[in-house]
Amino acid sequence: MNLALNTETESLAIPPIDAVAPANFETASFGLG
Amino acid sequence: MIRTRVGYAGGRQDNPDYGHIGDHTETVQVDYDPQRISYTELLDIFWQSHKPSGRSWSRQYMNAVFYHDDRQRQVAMDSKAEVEKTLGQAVKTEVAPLRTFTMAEDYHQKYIIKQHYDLNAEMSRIYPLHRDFVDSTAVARLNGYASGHGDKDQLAREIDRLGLTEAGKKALTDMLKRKWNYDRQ
Repeated sequence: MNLALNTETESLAIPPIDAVAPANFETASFGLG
Repeated sequence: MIRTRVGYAGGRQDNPDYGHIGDHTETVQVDYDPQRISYTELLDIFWQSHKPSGRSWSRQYMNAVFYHDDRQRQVAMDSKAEVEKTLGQAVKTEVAPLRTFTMAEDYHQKYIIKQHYDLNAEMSRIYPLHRDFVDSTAVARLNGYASGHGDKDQLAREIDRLGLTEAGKKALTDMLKRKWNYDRQ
């Protein structure tokens, strides 16, 4: 098995947490001195 | 929290940058899912993240809520009044209009994770375009962990959802073992 190739392929998948990011969101802004 | 970015806001100068910030303030912007967390809850975290009764050092480094609309302004003002009541003293943190938001330069975005070669390399392979890298929830999470936030239970719940290879997961866990009193959590 080519571990290097496997690692490369595995690492290119979109992270599951990004794949389910909701389309509807709100935005908040803060200054933190 | 869906994604984060840093930039310059609250002022009137056109096209601010790090060397010419003018009357703007260094600002973190958070996209969040209102079904999961409310603006009021975000404000609660904000109040706990600084000393509201303290004076800010400068306009550039100022504690402030920058509201995006009238609803946020009202919620922020009510929240500030609650904090004043609890503290029994005036809150010096400003509640001010956002006006504009200008993205800070690339090297300021997700700054902490970029100091971790292995993790940065893995996420950069997934997101070769820097804008996509910045907009990734996974990258924001990793940046937060690398900054010392989060805990062992949270990491256990989501480490398999961050898109890391097994080597990346080990690098993250090893880093957090050094950073946290990991085995005591």
